[in-house]
This record gives sequence, C-alpha cells and structure tokens, in this order.
Amino acid sequence: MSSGGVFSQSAAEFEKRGPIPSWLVSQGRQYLVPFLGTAFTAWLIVVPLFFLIVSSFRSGTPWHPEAFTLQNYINAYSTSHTYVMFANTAVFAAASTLLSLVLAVLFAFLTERTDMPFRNVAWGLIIVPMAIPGLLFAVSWTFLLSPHIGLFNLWLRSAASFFGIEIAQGPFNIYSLWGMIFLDGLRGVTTIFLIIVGAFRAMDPSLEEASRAAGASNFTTFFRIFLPLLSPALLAAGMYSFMNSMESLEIPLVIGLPARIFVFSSYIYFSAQRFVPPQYGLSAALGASYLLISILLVFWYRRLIGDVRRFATVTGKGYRPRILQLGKWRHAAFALFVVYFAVTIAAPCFVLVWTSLLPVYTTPSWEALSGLTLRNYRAVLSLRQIQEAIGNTVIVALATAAVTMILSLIVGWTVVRGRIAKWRGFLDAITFLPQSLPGVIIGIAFIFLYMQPPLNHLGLYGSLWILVMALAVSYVAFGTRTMMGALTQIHQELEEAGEVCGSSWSSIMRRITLPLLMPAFISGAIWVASHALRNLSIPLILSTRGNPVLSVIIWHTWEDGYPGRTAALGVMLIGALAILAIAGRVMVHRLSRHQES
Amino acid sequence: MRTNFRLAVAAVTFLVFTSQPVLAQKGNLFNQLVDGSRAELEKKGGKLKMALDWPEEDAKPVLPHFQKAFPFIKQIDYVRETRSEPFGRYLVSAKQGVYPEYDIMHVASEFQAQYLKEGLFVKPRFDYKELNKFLPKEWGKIDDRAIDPKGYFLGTTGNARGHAWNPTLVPKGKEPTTWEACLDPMWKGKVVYDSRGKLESLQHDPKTRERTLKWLRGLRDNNVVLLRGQATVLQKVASGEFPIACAVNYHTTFRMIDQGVKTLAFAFADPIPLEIGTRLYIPSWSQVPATTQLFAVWLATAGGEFLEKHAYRGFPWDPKSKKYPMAKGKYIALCDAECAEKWEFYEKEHAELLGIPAAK
Repeated sequence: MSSGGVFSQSAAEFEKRGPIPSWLVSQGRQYLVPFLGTAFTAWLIVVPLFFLIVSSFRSGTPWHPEAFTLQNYINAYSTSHTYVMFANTAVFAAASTLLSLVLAVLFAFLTERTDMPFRNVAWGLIIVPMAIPGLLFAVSWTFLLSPHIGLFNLWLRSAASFFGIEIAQGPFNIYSLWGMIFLDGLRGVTTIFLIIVGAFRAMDPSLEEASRAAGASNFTTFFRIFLPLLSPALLAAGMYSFMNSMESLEIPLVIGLPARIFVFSSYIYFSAQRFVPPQYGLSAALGASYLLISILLVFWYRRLIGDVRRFATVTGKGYRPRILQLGKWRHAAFALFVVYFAVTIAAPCFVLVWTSLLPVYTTPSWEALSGLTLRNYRAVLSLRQIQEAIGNTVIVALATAAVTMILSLIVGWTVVRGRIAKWRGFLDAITFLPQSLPGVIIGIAFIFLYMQPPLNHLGLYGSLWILVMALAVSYVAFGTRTMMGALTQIHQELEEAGEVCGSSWSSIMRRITLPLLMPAFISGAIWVASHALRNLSIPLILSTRGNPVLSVIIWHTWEDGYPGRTAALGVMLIGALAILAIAGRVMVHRLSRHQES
Repeated sequence: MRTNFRLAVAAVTFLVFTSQPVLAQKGNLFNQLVDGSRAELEKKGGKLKMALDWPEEDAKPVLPHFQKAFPFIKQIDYVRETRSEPFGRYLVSAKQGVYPEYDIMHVASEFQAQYLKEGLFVKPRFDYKELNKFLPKEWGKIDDRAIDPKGYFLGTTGNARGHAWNPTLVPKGKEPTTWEACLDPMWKGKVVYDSRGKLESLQHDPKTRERTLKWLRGLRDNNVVLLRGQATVLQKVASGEFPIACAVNYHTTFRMIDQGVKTLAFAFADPIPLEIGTRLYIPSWSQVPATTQLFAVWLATAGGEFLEKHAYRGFPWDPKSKKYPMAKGKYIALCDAECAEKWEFYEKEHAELLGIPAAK
C-alpha cells in the first residue's frame, strides 16, 4: 500500500472498480437531501428553543450570559401579574375560539347544507377577511367601538336617544377583555370555516335520514346527529384556533395594553421590550413555560387528529347530502353573511380609508368631508424609512416564501416518502411545534441564539436574514402540511414507473414529482408570502433600523400618534395584499390548466 | 550637590513637557472644541447624521441655525428616533459590534444607565463646567442644572408637563388645572395617560413625592386609560375620544395647537414636573465627539432661542420662553443627577402604582 493513505487507496479502488455506480449516487442523494433538510430544520427550530430554555435558567443578558439560577422563574411566578395574565390568556383564547366555532359552524351549515340564496357569494365573503392584517383590523375597531367616538357606539346612542334613552358613553367598550374576545373571535371564523367546511360537505346523510325517519325534528337531528358526528373535526379545528388565539399579539397590543389587560404574548413582549431595563431572563422563563404548554397542546392536537379516522362517515355509497329547505328564513340567512361582511370587511376598510384622508380623526359627517386630504399618503410616501421598509418587506416576504416552501418540500418528502422511519415522526412533530408558538417567543429565542458568543460575530441580529429564518420557522408548520397533503395525493406508482425506466432519484424528482407538486408549492408560497408581509410579532422583536419592515413601521406610526398615517399605510398594505392574492390565484389557475392540458 | 541639581533640572524639564497639554487645555477651550469639530467634519465631507427624539417639524427649522453658526457643517441628515424600544435594539446590536449609523444621537432616558454600564458612553474631551467659562458672550451660559455632575452628558431641553383637555368636552370650570382634577370621579375611565410617565422629578423631590404617589394610586382607581406616546394620547383627546390627558408635554400639545388643532387646551398644574431632556452623551463609537459636544453646548445656550421658537422646549424659568407666563409662580420639580441615577427605581414604582407589570 502506498503511503498516500486512504485517498490513494480510494483512488486505486476507484481505478479497479470503475466509477461509482449511478444507483449509489442516486441512493446517496435520496438520503443526503432529507438528511440536510432535517439538519437545517433542527437548526432552525430546535436549537433556538433549546437556547431559550437554557437561558431561562441563567442570569445576565443574551450577549453576556452569567451563572445558572432559578431567579428568572422566581421573578416570573412571584408576581400576581403572571397569574392574572394566565387567567386572561385562558379566557381570551377559550372564549374567542368558542365564538369563532359557533359562527363558523353556522356559516358552514348554511353554505353547505341549506338552500340559502347566493351560497357561492357567501363562501367568498367568508374568505375575504383574511386580507386584512390583524393589526389594522384591531386599529380600525378602535374607531368603531371606542366608548366615546366609536362609530357603532355613536349610532347606537343616537338610536337610543330617539327612544328617549340618553347614554353618556358606550354602550360598548372595545378596550376590554370582551372587546379582545370579540375581535379575535371574528378573525378566527375564516380559519375554522375552511377546516370544517369539507366535513359538512362530505357527511353521509343516511344517519340524518334515519333520524328523521324515527320522527326527530330538524333541531333534534342537528344537535343529536350532526354535531356529534362532527365533534372530532370541530374539536381539532377548535384546538387549532385556540392555539392561534394563544399566540395572537396584534389585538392584545392594540386593545389590551390601554386597558392593562395582558395575555401571554403581550406580557412576554412587554418584559423583553418595555421593562426598564429589558428583562430577557424573565421573557425566557415565560417563553419556556409557554413552550411546555404548547408542547402539550400540540401533543393533544395530534392525538385528536389521529383519532378522527374513527369517526369517518364518508363512505363509498355515493350519497349527496340532503339540502335543508330554509323557507322564509332563506333571505334572513343570507343577510347574516352580509352583516358578517359589513362587520369584518366593509366597516374596518371604510374607517381606515376615512381616517387616512383626515389630518386629525373626526367622526364621519358632511362637514368633515371638506377637510379630506391626501396629506397622510404624501407624508408616508416621502419618508425614506418607509421606502426602505417597502423594499425590505418585499425581499423578506419572497425570501421567506422560498425558504419555507423548499424546506417544507424536503421535510414533506422525507415524512411521506422517506425511507428512514425514525426521522418521520421527529420531523413531523418538530415542524408542527412552531404552529402554537407566539412570534415573540420565536424572536426572543433567536436573540438568545444569535447573540451568544461566538454566533454574535455573524452579525445576524438586525439583518434581513434573521427575519427570514424566524418567519420560516413560524410558517414551516403550514408549509409542511401543504406539501405533505399534496405528496399524499400523488401516487407512488408514478415515481416507481420512473425508477423502472431507469431514471435517477433526482431525475424523478425533477421530471415527475416537482411538476406535479408545483400548484401546491406556489399556492403555499403565496400564502407564506402574504402572511410574512403582514407579520408583526417576529419583526417587532427582531427588526431594527437596519432591517425595518412595513408591519413594524405601521405599528410604530400608530404608537407615535399618527392614526392618519397608520391608516394610509394600512390601506396601501391591504391593496398590495389584494393584488398578491389575485395574482396568485391567477397563477395557480393557469398552472393547473397547463398541467391538465 | 551636582546630582541634586541634575535631578532638579530633570524634574523641571519633565514638568514643563508634561504640563503642555494642561496649559493648552487652559487656553480657549471653546476654540479648541470648534477646531476639533472642524477637523472631524473635514474627514466626513461636512456631512452629519443626527437622530433625536424630536419630530421632523421641530428639528428641521432648528438645525439650519446650527449650520449657519458653523458653516463647515454642510449637511445634516436628520432622523427621528423616538420611544424607548429602539434603544434596547441598538444595545443588542452594539453588543455584536454593529453600531447605530448616527454621528449624533440621543438615547431614551430609560436606557441611559444601561448604556453607561455597558461602556457605550464615554466622557467628553472638555468638561462642560470648564467649557462654560469660554463660551462666546452672546451665547450666554449653560445652566448648571443641565450639566451632569459626573461629566458625561449635557441636558439641552426643558420638557415640562401639564394637563391637556378638549374644550368641546370639558365644561367651563371643570378644566384640569390641578393634579387633583384628574382624579375627579366625573372623569372615571375618561382620563388618558402616557404609560411612559416621566414623573421622576415629582417622585424624587421630597416636597412632592408623597403627593405624587397618592396621585398615581388615585389615577389607577379612577380607571385611567394607559396609552403609549405623547402624540397618541393627545390625538385621542383632540379627536374627542377622551376629554382629558394628564401629565402631557407642553411642547407636544402646543405643536398640535399651532398646527391648527382647535380641540386642545393646556395648563400647567402646580407643581410642574420638569425633565431635562435631550441629554447628549458621547457614544463610544462616535467619530465626531467634538461636534457632539459643540452641538450640545450650542443647543443649551445660543440655540435655545430657536429651540423655544420652533420646538417649544425652552426651560420654564427662562423669562424669554413661551411657557414662562404659564409656569410663573409655580413650583418646578427637577430630575437632577441624583434623581437620574434612581431612574430605574422610579420607573418600577410608577408602573407598580399604575398596576402594570414592571422589572424586578
């Protein structure tokens, strides 16, 4: 043997055996890509959370961690504020989920199982509220339900006055826990509706018919047959909505803070950003506590989803669900959708446009019309920071969409098609975990990781890349679910046919799997981009002068006391989101048609 | 003897050489400061980047007067840096070696102690008390109360607080001209207050402390609505959402009134809390320490005239200031250096009395 060692030996063997067989290269890629994907996912999700937990047991600052201690937990749990915050969070999340569920079930039932007029229009009206970012939704409602100048309150007071009842203020006060619940409940309807509407459509009607044959009324059938059959889907959707409410930040910030109502996310934000000096240790301890709760929630949610199969009612019998005749209530049912649309879209958009055209907010009146001006639009467009933020926001949204969906594709493929069973469960679980984590916790975990020596020398804090990575963590749960769903629909025999024809793994991926996945990939990317565009909680923690994005600028403009400029920015953002949604819809439609042809 | 003589000569020579800088220092310190600033600006092509907490409409009319006084400053790019949160982020960035891009910047009062602790402020080259002796006559003198006894900063503005109200909502005779007026049960749930209180001067001054603590408790019991930011609070009053805002800045209110907002009125209650604001420190990364000092000194003396005229931030004891007639005869509580050192304690106390979470 030559002294060249292993390399010379390999070279000699290479000469003797010839080149590496193509099957080995292909097999290698089959394992390498999932391995790299798993490693990168673990780095993105697990490592920051691990550092968050470790840091919760240390004193000092993220850039200068000191001794191990329990002091952060003692500080967190030795004040009544923490327990009040726990109670507020539980009530807020549970009550808003309940409100969303009730409305979503009602709307799903009306659109899928009744003869309500304009059902397709109603379907569309349910989806539209997603276009308004949570921050702007909350801001707009401060003008609609403020106890003194809220538009709805003013109308109600005028109506009461007409009947001789004088009310000094209110009757509703948005700056309350009930105000927060009302807004979050309204915002949650679309998500729950989309989750459960399929179950309504696909339900086997024979059970209902049996109920009716036994003499039960519509009412009894609805509560004794319909709802119990749907209960697993409702529970899973409710659980998902509950996790969303737990992590919501915008409504607790805009509505909760003025009323001194703290929930988990706003309390953590407050401790990391508003305490003097900032209490990173306390926020880490609270974040770690939340992490424990969210792991339990995710575990429970996954068990629920796993059990859903037991309640399968869609059979191969080919029934069409029976359509309930609403009779004289048909138009009243549609009116309900119109009210919902007015409350969730028309009124907030109107009040935002109105506010954006006024130098100082005044309630809508004929006299105020003479004072309308485009000054706020000119002001925001002339600010250099806003021009910079618009550019940054576009970059962050596109990069987040690309990173998230590529990662989701790899993870999805590994989970659905991967040959290493051990990775599947692990990957599936860790990619779903961020779904229940508030953006502020992800942001703080990233600070703890990337401010630790030697990682602080990377200079990631304050860059666009840290935003992209943190946002990718936040949306990877959605991305992986989208890609896993799409991969499950593509039968493996297509890929096996490729293998039989002698194609390599990469060739199969490139020529068969990826083109078939493209519509799901693009619609997923559009969803991620549109959510990254408006995400506030992560940039609020990680954005600086060096990487400003639009959502943070909108929040700061609001906080600085410029409601007109906030509204002007909001109107422009909603416009951009609407254009993005329409463009995305057209693109996905064309891609699908192209594939069909 | 010869050895002693040699030693004496050596000692005298050493003293002569080492005392040169001291002697130079004892020359006209102001001229040296200007020369230092000129040299700094030459290296930067005459351009300065500045970030203060004043809105653009306050800063833009003032800064050209500074340029006019020192023509070697050819351009000032101004950015408003308000609230406290950005300074927490700057601190984090600074710890990874990335510093703010500003040549001259203020740091929110909440973070000044931490920046000092982290070594992000350095002592200026010239002591402000010494510098005071060499200022041009027409500039006047720096008020001693604005100079940090430890020598790090110079306070340049007088931020005095009073109460604002919406005259269309507050009946005559019920205007909040006293502190107790904010606690009137008729305003329960209708008083809006900036949670970034800045009443440290009242909390610190033994003459006003007990009364202030009681007032804060009363404010909480009166269901005060807490918002963040002076302009936010005043917008809510101007729009009619709330009738009264307690403890708001004179300068923010009068800027809005001068911009044509007719639904705002203002009065100082007795005592007047005064924060010596826009404290200019020399950041450790500064490329223009002399210019920073020059700007601070100019602002605290010659620039005060423009500061008062355009930014309403003159000291209330200055008879030339617009607020002087309103403040005359009222007790002014000042947050001095000792008070500033206890800032974190007062912040915590303020938050706890209002029922909002605070740092341990």
